[in-house]
Amino acid sequence: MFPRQPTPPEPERDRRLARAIRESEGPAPSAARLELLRVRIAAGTAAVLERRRERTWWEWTTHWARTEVALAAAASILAAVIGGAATIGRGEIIADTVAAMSASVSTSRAPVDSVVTRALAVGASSEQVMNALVGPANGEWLLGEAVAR
Amino acid sequence: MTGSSPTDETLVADDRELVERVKGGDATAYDALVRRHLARAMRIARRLLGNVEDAEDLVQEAFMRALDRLGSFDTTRSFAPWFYKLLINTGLNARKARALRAAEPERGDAAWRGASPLEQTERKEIRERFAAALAALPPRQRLVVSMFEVDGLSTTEIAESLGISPETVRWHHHQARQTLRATLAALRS
Repeated sequence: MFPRQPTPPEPERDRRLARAIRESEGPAPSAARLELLRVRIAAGTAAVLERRRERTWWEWTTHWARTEVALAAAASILAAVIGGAATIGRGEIIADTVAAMSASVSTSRAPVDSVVTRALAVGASSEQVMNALVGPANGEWLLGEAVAR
Repeated sequence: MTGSSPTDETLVADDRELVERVKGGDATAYDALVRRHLARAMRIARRLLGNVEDAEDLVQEAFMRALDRLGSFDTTRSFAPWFYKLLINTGLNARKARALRAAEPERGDAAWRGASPLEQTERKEIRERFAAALAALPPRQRLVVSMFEVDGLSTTEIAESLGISPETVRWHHHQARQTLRATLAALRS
């Protein structure tokens, strides 16, 4: 591999040549003219940056709109699935409850009937039957029952 | 350089910092960049196109293009050569694409106001002959010698601006300078 050549120094600047070139090119545009040009460019710059800001906002919105639409669709589907499941569940619960109540009604009738039937068979009064079923009207029935046993 | 005064902040900030701020949407930072490079850009543009009106249009277009492309500009690099390259390429395309307005005879007569009519005539002749010698140079040599001697760009910056190697810039500069020095010597003798 060859050793890397050092960078040669910059050539000297030739002032006489520079002056001659400047003179042949004519005078530089006046400061006022340059200022007018600067103002033109500044106006263009402001317009471009403003457009860019609007575009950025819009692009941001449209970019996220895609995600938002996808999320909304997913959420709708999820809601439909969960809602459906809940409805189905609720229906099942209602059906089960009705069935259970019917069953309890149909099964609990027999003991009540049997108590009533037996009470009536032994000639118990209606108060005694009620006391046997729901407890006596005064609050001492539990004590009475306990002493009796 | 121009009429209104920029803030201290924009004077202190270097090109790289200004570019970063422009990328964030700061219009005043771009204005500071424009102020900094406007005069030199105008000289290069006028050299390319030959008259002030076309040069102004070119400079404005180049600054607008630069603003447009600044998003992809690598801030580890120097702004000036990148911008001048854009300016020169835009100018070369413009020169090809449209018929340019005739170059107006703008000359630095103010400097000669104190001279006698004979001296003025002599100097005018010298200036015109030197201008002819400058115009006779190959376009790239003319651009290189002017950018180096008048605009004060380094050979590396010119190389980046023109998309050629620094060695080629040095060679063009050397050739152009030899020719122009010989012309000047002949005219002065």
